[in-house]
Amino acid sequence: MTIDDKTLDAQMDHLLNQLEVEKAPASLTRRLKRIPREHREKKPLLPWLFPGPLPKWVMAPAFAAVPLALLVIVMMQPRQPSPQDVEQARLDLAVAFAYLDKAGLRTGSQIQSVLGGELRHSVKDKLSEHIPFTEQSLQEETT
Amino acid sequence: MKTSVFRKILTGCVTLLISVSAMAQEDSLKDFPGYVDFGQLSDIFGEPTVQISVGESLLGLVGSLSASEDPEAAELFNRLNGVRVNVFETTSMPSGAIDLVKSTSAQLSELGWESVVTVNSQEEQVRIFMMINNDRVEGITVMTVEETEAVFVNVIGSINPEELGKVMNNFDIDINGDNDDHDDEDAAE
Repeated sequence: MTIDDKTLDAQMDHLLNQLEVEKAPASLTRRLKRIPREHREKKPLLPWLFPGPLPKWVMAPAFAAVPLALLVIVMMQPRQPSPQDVEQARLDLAVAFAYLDKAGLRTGSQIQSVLGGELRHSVKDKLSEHIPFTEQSLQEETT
Repeated sequence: MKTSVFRKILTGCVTLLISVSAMAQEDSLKDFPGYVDFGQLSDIFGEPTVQISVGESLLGLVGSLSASEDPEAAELFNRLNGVRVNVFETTSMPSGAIDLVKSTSAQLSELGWESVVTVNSQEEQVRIFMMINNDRVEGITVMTVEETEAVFVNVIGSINPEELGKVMNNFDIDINGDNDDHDDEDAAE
């Protein structure tokens, strides 16, 4: 360091000492004081499972649950049956009634074989009051 | 790897949801007096060859759509709550089948069902029950068990048997697959 430099340093120090300490604005002071309070170290939410900060993938199940919940809501809504569903239901009903008819036919034939011609009519008439498909089945069988 | 696991979980969830909704439909019928719990049929007869469960909403739709062509059928369907059919094909009379029919019949009698027809033999068991409340039929149950087939039918709802007979006559379906024979006979006539 040369003599000139030393002189310059001394001058600079002298000038700096002459400066007054500038006060920070009140708003800046408040903001600066808030920093340690706002950025306090967060406690882990699940310390027994994740002692450190939560890994990013922890939120994945939560995001996956959203479409699943939507799916549940959609499925819980009463669905308007399509024309195919209605046609299928019609066919199903036809099959169901065909099985009912078959049972009537079977019981009708049993009555016929057990009771024979004479008694059959009196029993058949009584029975057909309750289950007319037995009556029809008997008619079909007789013809 | 992750995708495969995710797919499996998603498939599981969807299957669970579908089965839950099917069970919900079955559960909704359980409150009606005409509903019959046949028990665990598959334990004795195996997997059903025909399984039908038509609920109230579909019956109403079928009813409203049939109103113009078959008013009687429409009237009947609108008053029904559900129709359930389980058919099992068997090669011989399964053990426990006759006992099941008898125990279910006893339970139905206890619950107030009226036995209308009983065929009781070693080769064949037929039971027809009706739930009658205040002169109104609220359910019909048919159980037919023989060597080659077991049929369980449960019709739930307000039923006029006379109406049922007429509607059944209008359905042209042959579950034995003999339609061709009938067609031939009809043609010959």
